[in-house]
Amino acid sequence: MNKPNLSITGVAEIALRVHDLDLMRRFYEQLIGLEILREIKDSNGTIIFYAVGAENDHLALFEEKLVDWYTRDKSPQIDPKLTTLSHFAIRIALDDFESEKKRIEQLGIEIVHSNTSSWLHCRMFYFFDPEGNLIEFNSHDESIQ
Amino acid sequence: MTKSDRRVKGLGEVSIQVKDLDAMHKFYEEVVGLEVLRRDENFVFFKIAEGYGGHSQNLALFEASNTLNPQESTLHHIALNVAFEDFEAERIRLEGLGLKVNATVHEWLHVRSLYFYDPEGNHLEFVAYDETVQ
Repeated sequence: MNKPNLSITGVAEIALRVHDLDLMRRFYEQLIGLEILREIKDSNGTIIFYAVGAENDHLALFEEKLVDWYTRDKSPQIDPKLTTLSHFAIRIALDDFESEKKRIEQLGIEIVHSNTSSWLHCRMFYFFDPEGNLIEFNSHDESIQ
Repeated sequence: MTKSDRRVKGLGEVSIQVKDLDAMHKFYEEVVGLEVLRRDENFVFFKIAEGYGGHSQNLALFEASNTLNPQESTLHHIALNVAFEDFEAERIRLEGLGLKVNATVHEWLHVRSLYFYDPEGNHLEFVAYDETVQ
């Protein structure tokens, strides 16, 4: 194995391209419960940055019609079937795991999969956001070996 | 809401689908410089950093169909924190590897960023906090 790059200290941000920003923001704000860090709006479109966790990681929503230098080689039309994003995981406390699962189910969202990982020592469940991105809620659990 | 009250404790993992697992594994291990946690026939997990509550933050690559299209992906980009003192060295290193690197600043976040692409067209960002960026 190569020597790891010790300059890398964490995941700072995951940014998603979204088609219907109003629908997606309601989901991420009201259902997932994320806190808005900043909303940037210009004539081309809107970006919303959410703060995640004590380290201020970000989840960001970029409207798909934003085609500027950040996105210069992206078509203005997303297709979840062709996405390179498999899924992303949001970390929750183990104490909240069952209550979060119940809360999300009670909102009428289907939990599409639940499992544990003996080598990652965690438990997780999965569901889709309104535009077909797969979200994992994940808790570290040392008892899973 | 204070930061420690947030129910969502952090970003745990980002997983992307790839067409050529060996080529993408090599890039994320050798160019990005991530530590391999586990390699299997159809996937590889890299550790990025220590995460919340004793767990690590990971990046995973899963081999998938070859109909993937980064142009139409719902993934806009993935940002990884790098230490400020390493920022310039990383820029020089990436450029030295022949990558086209776009450097910029984001004033409201007080950060410097390097943007580049992985071999399958996913947009990556290395980002460093720099309080002089106002």
